[in-house]
Amino acid sequence: MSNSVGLIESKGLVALIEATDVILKNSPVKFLGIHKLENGLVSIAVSGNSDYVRAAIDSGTEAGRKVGEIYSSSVIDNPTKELLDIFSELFSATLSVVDNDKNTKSIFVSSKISELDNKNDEISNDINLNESKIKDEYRREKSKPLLVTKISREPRLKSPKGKGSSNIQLNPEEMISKKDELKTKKVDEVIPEIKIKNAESSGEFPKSISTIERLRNEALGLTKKRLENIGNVKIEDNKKTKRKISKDSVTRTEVDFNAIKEMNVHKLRNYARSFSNFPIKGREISRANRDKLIAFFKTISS
Amino acid sequence: MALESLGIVEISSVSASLKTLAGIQKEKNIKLVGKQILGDGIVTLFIKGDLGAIKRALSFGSEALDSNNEFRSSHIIPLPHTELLSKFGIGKK
Repeated sequence: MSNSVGLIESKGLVALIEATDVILKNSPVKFLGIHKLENGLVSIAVSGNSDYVRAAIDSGTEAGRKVGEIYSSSVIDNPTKELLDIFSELFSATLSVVDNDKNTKSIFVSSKISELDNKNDEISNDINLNESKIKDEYRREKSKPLLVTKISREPRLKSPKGKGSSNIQLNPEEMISKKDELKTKKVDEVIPEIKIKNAESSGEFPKSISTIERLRNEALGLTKKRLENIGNVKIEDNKKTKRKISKDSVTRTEVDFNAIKEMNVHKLRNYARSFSNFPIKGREISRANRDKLIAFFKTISS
Repeated sequence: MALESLGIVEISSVSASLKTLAGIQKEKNIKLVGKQILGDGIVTLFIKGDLGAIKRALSFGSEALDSNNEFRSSHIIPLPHTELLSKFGIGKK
């Protein structure tokens, strides 16, 4: 399997031939072919293992630059099938000329060429050998990360066994494991509370929201119903306390100026909302700054 | 003729390439294995032979050219890969 394609483009053949020579001699990559444009630009393509291709293209361009004009070079990792089809179209035009030459012992990637090349058995054998070799390499590379994951799983599998043995022997490790269990239990207890809070908050303002949000709340309501059995009492308690707070806030009349000095603007605004006789209301409070709010508090108290 | 070197000359016009070829052929121990005419008037000549013979031939060829504009570049590969030229569609015919 070849998983990347490299390209070198140059003006004139000299630089490109030098580059190709270096690549062919030193790198285990497949030579896809050459493509000529009308204005003297020629490009070659190679494919293979991405690291090999990268190294090949680098060494090729470096060698070519010393001799002539290398226009550009690039490496494409994991090309799609469509892209490879385009490549085979581009680079097969010149390859057909090469195939007529019977002395070639060259190895080409594109399957079309290998099909066409029935006359020369050696070539097809070479292709098969090379492909199988590269496949083997690819498999080895793929198998490495799998091994690593297996190793990482092993300790997890062993840990419960260790616990079982420690239960019999009553080791200090057992205590640690029990503590861990307790911790996890605590976490489990905390999580439903959070969920309940979420459900509660979703149901706080049912009238002032859009249809989409209402639907969402209905969906969340399902989870709320499930959790009601566990946390029904708690929710009710919370609601009661909130109502109490709201009642307290409405009946507030006297201004505590010492507390105001320590408050920031947001707290001041909330504090202002708690007064029924505050001169401004609603949005106006949220627009007012600290100085204005304090001025209004003074007007109330006076 | 076991180990042959490859010489490549690139010239930027067809007439200049003929001049170069005339110059190259002063050296007898080389043979022209191919030519490639790219677009834009770029002609590439491929010669094979002894390394020293190719060096001499290329120097003769570059001397035959008048102006620098016609000569693009030249290169010698002492031991080219066996499949190098066939990859480019150039070879024995």
